[in-house]
Amino acid sequence: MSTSQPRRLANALPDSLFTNRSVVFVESIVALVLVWSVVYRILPPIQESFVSPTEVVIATQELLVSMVWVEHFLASLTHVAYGFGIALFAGTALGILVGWWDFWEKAFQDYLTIGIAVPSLFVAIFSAMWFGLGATTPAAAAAIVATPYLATNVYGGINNIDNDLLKMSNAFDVSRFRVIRRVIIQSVLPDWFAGLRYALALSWKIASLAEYIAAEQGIGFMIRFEMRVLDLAGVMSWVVFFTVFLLFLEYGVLAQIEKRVFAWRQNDSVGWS
Amino acid sequence: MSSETSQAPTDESLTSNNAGSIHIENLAKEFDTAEGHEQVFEDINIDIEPESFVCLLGKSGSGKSTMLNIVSGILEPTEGQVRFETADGSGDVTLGHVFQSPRLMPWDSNLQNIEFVNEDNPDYTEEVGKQHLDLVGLSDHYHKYPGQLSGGQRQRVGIARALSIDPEVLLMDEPFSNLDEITAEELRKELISLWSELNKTVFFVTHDMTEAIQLADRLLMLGDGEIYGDLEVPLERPRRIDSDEFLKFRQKAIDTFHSIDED
Repeated sequence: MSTSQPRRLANALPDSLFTNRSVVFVESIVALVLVWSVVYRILPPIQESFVSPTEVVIATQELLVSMVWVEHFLASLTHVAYGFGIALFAGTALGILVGWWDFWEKAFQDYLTIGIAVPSLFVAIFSAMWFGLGATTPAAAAAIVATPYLATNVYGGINNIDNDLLKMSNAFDVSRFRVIRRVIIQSVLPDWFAGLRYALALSWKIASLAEYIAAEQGIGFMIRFEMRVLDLAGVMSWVVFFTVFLLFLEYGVLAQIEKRVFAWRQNDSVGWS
Repeated sequence: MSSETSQAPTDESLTSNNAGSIHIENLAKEFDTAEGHEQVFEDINIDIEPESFVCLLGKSGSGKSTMLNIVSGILEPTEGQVRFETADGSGDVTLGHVFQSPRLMPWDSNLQNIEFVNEDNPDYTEEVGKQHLDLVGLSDHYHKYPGQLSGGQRQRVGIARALSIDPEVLLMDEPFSNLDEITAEELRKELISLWSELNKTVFFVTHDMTEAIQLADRLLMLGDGEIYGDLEVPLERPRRIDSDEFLKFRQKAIDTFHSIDED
């Protein structure tokens, strides 16, 4: 086969197959499932220790039909809501404190670095030891892990406020309240939102981990349950459920909010000089 | 004609304020440095007439931006004062600022950027903002973001913003120095056109002699802490930079500018 044949084939296909982010994402999932299916079929040792995509699909279908997921999903949602809510409030406040006042920067900056460096597993284990079996453990673990990330982003956002805009506001005698609302908050907003996105995804992960360790309800708890009964397809069905939900949260909710709130960023740098 | 070059006729409603005069009296400024006090300038006295266009020239580090910042009230002088006079005798002057970089908020549309500085202006409406964007030839760009504009267009928004508060005095700090020469030349012509129509007093800082002669009625040269050159520009408008008169005066101005190096 000549080398020009694949190029011709590529030219005949629609551009969207290579350029559209959603299409490429779907292609990657299809490719992953295909590779998984082929490897599962041709390597017998894998069949003993793993499950086929078909088994996972069937298990996921059973999970959805049984409605068992509702109770545990709502439990996880509650854990994350509390944990993320606390992180949102504490992280934003801490970020403002550290970013705005030198004293608090000196006092807390190293704690933020430590907070980010501490392994999440330790936090989940210590939360379980402090708060025991129950809903408080995943919520607390999520809050403890997510707070420094959000605070660091807010701190970075405050440090990146364009001083020229503040000078301009001063030159035009713009009131302090208006400067806070229209310059400072707007400057910090992109970093805050990026931190929020990351902290939310992190909250889900850590809450699930803590549920796995010490909870009586939740997605993490159910993954542990399926592992105990050695139902690998059951474990995978919860993983699939969890992943699909996070993707919905990321692209269905957060990306849409970002598109709307930060429309000006999408239009940036298209000018000519 | 592209929106870059088009210009709407001036609306008379945009020129309610009279021009103000500027009186710089015994002005001195020093900064504290690691080595002690650094005197930027001292005993500066300048009177700038209403509706005049004055350029302050100086080399880098001569203190011209410092002086502009004192005039605008951003910096406090060490000694002396800056006084303004208005036609109503109140001395309560509105200052418009155009900066070296436009300093526009990227998250706000051009119209919102203009609205931002008009908080205390009871006469401001969206229509007024649009009229000022029309004035600088940006009729098609009301709701666009600064990121969607070229460098020249952004600077036009900066000029529209400064004019929107209807200032008696317009303070401009090297506003065209970041632009390519073709765009800068276009904006200079439009600035002169706006100035002659709106009758504002303009205090313009630059290090570009040709630009200064093209624009100003009067050139002030700042160096070694003093105003060492003060030249009236005797050229008719519009000024052609390749005309004999222009080149002759430019040479005289350059000789004056460099006279400080000989002392």
